[in-house]
Amino acid sequence: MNGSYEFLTDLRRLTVVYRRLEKVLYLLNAAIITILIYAIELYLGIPAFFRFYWQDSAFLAESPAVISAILGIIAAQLLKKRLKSNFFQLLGQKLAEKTKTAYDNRYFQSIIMQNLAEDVKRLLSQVSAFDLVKARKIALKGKSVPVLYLKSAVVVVFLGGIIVFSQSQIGEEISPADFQTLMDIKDRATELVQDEEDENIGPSDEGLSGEIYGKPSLAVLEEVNLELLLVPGSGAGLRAKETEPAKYLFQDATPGEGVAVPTELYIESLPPQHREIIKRYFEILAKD
Amino acid sequence: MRDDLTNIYNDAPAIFESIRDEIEKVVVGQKYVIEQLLAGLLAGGHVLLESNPGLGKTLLVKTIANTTGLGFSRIQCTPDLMPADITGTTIIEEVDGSKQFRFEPGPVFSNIVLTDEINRASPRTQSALLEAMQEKQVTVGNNTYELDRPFFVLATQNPIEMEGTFPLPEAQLDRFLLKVFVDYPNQEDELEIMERYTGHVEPEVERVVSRRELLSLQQLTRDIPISDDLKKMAIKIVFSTRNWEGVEYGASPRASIGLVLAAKARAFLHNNNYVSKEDLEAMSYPILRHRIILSFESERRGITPDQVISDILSKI
Repeated sequence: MNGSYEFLTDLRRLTVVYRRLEKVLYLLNAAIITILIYAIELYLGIPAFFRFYWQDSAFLAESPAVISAILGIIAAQLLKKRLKSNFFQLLGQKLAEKTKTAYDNRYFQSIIMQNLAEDVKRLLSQVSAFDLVKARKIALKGKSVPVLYLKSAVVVVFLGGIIVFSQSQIGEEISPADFQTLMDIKDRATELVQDEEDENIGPSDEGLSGEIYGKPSLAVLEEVNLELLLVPGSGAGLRAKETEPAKYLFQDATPGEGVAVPTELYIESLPPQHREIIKRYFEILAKD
Repeated sequence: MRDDLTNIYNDAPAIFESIRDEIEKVVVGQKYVIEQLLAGLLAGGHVLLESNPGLGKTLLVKTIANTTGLGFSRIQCTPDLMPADITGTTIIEEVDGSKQFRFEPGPVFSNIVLTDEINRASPRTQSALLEAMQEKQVTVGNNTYELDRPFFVLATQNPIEMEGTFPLPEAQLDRFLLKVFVDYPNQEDELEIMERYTGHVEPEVERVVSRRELLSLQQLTRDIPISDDLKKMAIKIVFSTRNWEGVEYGASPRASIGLVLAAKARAFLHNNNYVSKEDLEAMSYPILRHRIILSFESERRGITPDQVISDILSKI
């Protein structure tokens, strides 16, 4: 900002204010975006999960907040590049045109330039830092509000919202304890994988003698308790095996007349010492 | 000289005001046309005035000449007008018993040259004006004569009665800084014209600016500062005319120079000490309208250069 004209001093003063204002607005943008991203993370329960999962590492436990801050800064940078602001615009159209012209011609000496420089100096000396803050406006429901005030208010509201949210019922509901089930599943899966590795045996009916087989489990389906039995040869540890397709031959036959053939009584197939008990059991069952 | 310039700069608003007042004694309304003519005068460019007959083009130019106190000459163009009728010719005269050649300057040797109905002159005669307009000098035979400054050609043409006319070639049109349309007056103005020119006394104008003052004002016009953004905008406007849809040929770099100069002149006339975007936009029309050659298709569709300029300005 070289040149001999006096208005350059005022211009320098206002430029410093403008740069500070830009920095503050940039930080406010970053804060708003950070809070927004963190709020989404909070809603999804990501911070709670991270705190629980990486209890041993403070950095990793708080990484969602760090990620939000990094994303906020990046987004604010992009926003700054995209919405290129111009110091001269803040001065109002007429003064901006005058000041820009005077600034562009600051090395040019003439009567008119001198006149313009004096004019600009007089006008710029009336512009305060507060005027610059007020000049950066945004239209909101037909009213123009200074961006600095609006963004500051948004940051305060968002921060308050985050605090309220984390203290609220929703916040409480999402607690590290919620992830205990996840942890159990994880531990169980790890154990199973470990077992499989230890056994180092291919899947077969004989080799599987794990605890989970043959023991009934209880499942509740529509308030009905169902006993589930995992029989050997099914469940985890088995792998699909491709086999040759089997060919079955079917012979045509003519249906014959049905003939009753006496078969062995069921009771006769039972061990003699239990026959009486089972017989009684079915008799009682029949009565009921 | 500097003090002199300072005084003239300080007096400029009053000078412009008095010129306008004097012109308005004779010309009713037409404020836009007056402004454009004065802008041309300040920018040191030539102006082509176009309108239907009877709208006071010639009167306006004569009045401006009278207010400035500059040398004024008028050329009424006809198809049989010869170049020498404009530039002047060498005549043989007898001095002390011996005969010698002497150059007799034509009407172009004046400060303000009104070339009435320029499109009625033959192309040969029209081209005789080319050198004078661009170089501000005239070459007759082997001799070149400098024209007096300021040199200002105000040409008029009417768009009707095109029979027996020779439309100005693009090269010559480009030499006119501005092309200004003179429109019909409104009812009030026409009533005022009627009253003013049906009485016993016809209005007269006084000289309110000297040649020296006018030259200083021209110098000051060039000193009006313009921002870099507006310079770029001027270039952008002119560049756009070159590859705009429906435009066969766009404006030359002379248009860029002219646009900035004319914008400076307008700013000065509005008592501003800088060129605004409004000045640039307002002067785009008279600067570009005769430099844009529309394609056949555009002409068939009735598109005018002014519409193209509006389109360009709205998209820049």
